[in-house]
Amino acid sequence: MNQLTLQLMNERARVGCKGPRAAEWLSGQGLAIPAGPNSYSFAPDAYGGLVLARLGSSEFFLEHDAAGDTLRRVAAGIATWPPGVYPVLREDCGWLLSGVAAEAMLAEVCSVDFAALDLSARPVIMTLMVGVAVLIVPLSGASDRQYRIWCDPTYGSSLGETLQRVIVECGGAYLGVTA
Amino acid sequence: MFTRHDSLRPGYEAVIIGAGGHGLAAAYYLARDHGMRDVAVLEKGYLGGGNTGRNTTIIRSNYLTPEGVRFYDESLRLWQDLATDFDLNLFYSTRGHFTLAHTDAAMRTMRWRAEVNKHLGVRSEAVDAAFVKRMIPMIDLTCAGHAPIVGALFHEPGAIARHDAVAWGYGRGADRRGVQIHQQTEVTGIRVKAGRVVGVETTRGFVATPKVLCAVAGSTPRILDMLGLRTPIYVHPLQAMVSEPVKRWLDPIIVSGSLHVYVSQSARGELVMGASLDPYELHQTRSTLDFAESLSSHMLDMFPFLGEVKINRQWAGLADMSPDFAPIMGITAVEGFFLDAGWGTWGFKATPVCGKTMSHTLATGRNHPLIEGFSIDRFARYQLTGEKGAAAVGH
Amino acid sequence: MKLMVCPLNGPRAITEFAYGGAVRPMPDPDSCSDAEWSDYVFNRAGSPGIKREWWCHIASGYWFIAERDTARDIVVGTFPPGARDAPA
Ligand SMILES: Cc1cc2nc3c(=O)[nH]c(=O)nc-3n(C[C@H](O)[C@H](O)[C@H](O)COP(=O)(O)OP(=O)(O)OC[C@H]3O[C@@H](n4cnc5c(N)ncnc54)[C@H](O)[C@@H]3O)c2cc1C
Repeated sequence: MNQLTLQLMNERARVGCKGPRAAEWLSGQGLAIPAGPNSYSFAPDAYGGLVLARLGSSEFFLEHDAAGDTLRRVAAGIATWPPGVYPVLREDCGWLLSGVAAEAMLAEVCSVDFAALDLSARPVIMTLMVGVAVLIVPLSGASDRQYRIWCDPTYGSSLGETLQRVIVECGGAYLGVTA
Repeated sequence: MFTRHDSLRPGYEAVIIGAGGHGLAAAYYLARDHGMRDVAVLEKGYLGGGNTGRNTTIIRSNYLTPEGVRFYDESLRLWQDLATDFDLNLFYSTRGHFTLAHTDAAMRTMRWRAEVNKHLGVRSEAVDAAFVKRMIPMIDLTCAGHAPIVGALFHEPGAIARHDAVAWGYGRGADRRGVQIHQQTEVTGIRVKAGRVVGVETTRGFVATPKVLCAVAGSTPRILDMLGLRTPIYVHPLQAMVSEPVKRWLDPIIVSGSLHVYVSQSARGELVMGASLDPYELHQTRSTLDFAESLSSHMLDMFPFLGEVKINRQWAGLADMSPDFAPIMGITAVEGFFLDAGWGTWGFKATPVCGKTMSHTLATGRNHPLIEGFSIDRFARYQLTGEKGAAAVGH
Repeated sequence: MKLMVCPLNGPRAITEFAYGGAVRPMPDPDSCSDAEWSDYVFNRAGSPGIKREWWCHIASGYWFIAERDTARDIVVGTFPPGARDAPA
C-alpha cells in the first residue's frame, strides 16, 4: 500500500448554492442534509458516492463523479432560482490526498491537526493551506483517511505545484489525474 | 554625556513629553534658535528607548504629495549638517534608495513620484530593470518567478544613519544649553484651566507650565485621552530584524511594497530588514514567528543566496498610524498643547525638521508654514494629505 | 502560535483571520452634523484597553465579533455577529 499519494480531481462535477431555503430545497431533491454547520453527508452510489458539504449554516457545496446525473439535475434546478436559493459558481480545483502519512504531510502545509479529527462527526474543514483558502472533506477509506482538498481555481496551479513538491519531499508520489 | 538633575523645578517655560528624537530635537532648537532654555523633557523610560531606538533608519524625501516632499526634503538638508552641529559621528551614509515596482500599476506610481519629486528639485528617477540589476548585481530580477521586477524609483539621496547617535546628539546639545532632561518620569495627566494648559502631573509630582509638546509616538492616544482630544491615530506594532554580520555586498537601500520587505546593510555588515505593519491593533512590543518567516521568505525571493544566513535579533516598536500616512502636527484646540504625532512607520527621517518646525510653533504659538498640510483639523475638513502610495511599506 | 477561537470554525492560528477594526455605531448620515460624521469616519479610540472588534476567518469568509485586550494581547472572547455586536 502506498504511504502517501496525491491525485488531481478537477474532472469531478461540483455545484454550489446558498440561501435561507437552500437546505430545505436540497432536501426536497432527495439529498441528505448534514445537521450541523461545517459537516458533510456522504451518499454511496454506483459512482463512488456524492459529497454534500454544509459550509457554515446556509451554504452548500456538492461534488460527485461527472458520469453521474444527480448533480446535473441539481444544478439545473438551482439555475431556475427557486425562492430563497441562490446559485454559487463552483469551479474549484481539487486534489485527493491519501495514505497513512497524509496527516504528517498536512501538518507541513496548514495549522490544523488533522490526526486529532473525529471523522464520525463528518467534519468539513475550511483553513489556509500554504496561505491559500481551502475546503477539506476527510473521508474514511479502508485502511486510511482520504482528504478531498478544494480551492478557488485562480490559486489552483500555484497550490498544485507546491503540493506536488511537498508530497515528494514527504516521501509520497504525485499520480496526476485520477484513474 | 548628560547632566543628572535630582529634582524637577516647580515649573518650566515649556515641557516636552517624550525623550525620543523628536522631543529632543524640539528641545535643542528651542534652546538654540529661540532662546527658550527653561525647558524640561520628561521621559517615562530612558532616552531614545522608544521608536527612535527601534527604527531601521531609512532617510529619504521621495514622497508623493508636494507637502510631504517639501517637508522631508528640508529634513534631508538638515541631516547633512548635523554631525558638525553635534560634533558626534552619526554614521550618516548616503546609499541611494530603490523602490521596486513589480507591476505596471506600481511603475505608474513610480513615474508619478519621480515627476512630483523632480518638480520640487528632489533627485528621483524611474528606472528599468536592467538599471536595478546593474546597481544590485546580487538581485534575482524574477523574484523566484513570483513577482518579476519591471523597474523602480531610484532616489539617489536615500541614506541611513545611526539612530541612538541622533537622540544623543540632540539630547546633549539641548542639555548643554540648559534644557533639563528627566528620565524615569512619566506624565500621568495634563492640567487645563479655561481651555489653557497650566501644567502636567507626573510620577514625580506636578510641574507648572503654559506650553506642552507631546512627542510620544505610540503613546499618543493615551496622552490625548487626558485632554479629551480625538484623532484618527491608531496603534499597531511594527517589527524589524537584523541578520548576523556578513561581508559588504549591498550598497543601496531596497524597498519592495509588493513583497512587503525593505532592507539595507549597516556599516557593521548586518542586514537590517523590515516589512509592513502588524495586522492588528496592539500596544505591546512582542516579536512573532509569522513576521520572521514571511519576511525571510520574501528576502529569499529577491536574494536566494542568503539561505544560510542567520537572524540575530528581532524586535518591535509601537507605530502611531494616521489614515493618510501623513503626520498630525501643530497647535490643537487646547491652548498651549502642541502635538507632534502620527509618525507611524516613517518618522525617523523627519526628526530634524520636526524639531525645527515644532520649536518654531511652540515659540510663536503659530503653525510653521511647512506643517500646514499636517494640522489636526484637516480631517474635519476632509482635506487629507494622501501619502500612502509613498509610505505604506517603505519607511 | 497565537490562537483565536472562531465561533464557526473553532480554534485556529491567528494568521487565518483578518482584522476588521473596532465595532463602531454609525450616526444617521441624514440627521447628524458634518462634525459628527467626520468624527465617525476618521477618529478612533486609539488607547489600549478591551476592544470589541470585527474579525473575519479568511478561509470561510465568516465575520464575527472578538473582544481583545489590546494592552495584554489576550483574546477575551469571540461571538457570532448579532449575538453581542450592539454598541457597548
Ligand atoms: C521597527 C520600526 C522601523 C522604523 N523604520 C523607520 C525608517 O526606516 N525610517 C523612518 O523614517 N522611520 C522609521 N520608523 C518610524 C520612526 O521610528 C518613528 O516615527 C520616530 O522614531 C518617532 O520618534 P519620536 O521621538 O516621535 O518617538 P519615540 O522615539 O518613540 O519617543 C517617544 C518617547 O516618549 C516616551 N513616552 C511615552 N509616553 C510617555 C509619558 N506618558 N510620559 C513620558 N514619556 C513618555 C516613550 O518612552 C518614548 O521614549 C520605524 C519605526 C519602527 C518601530
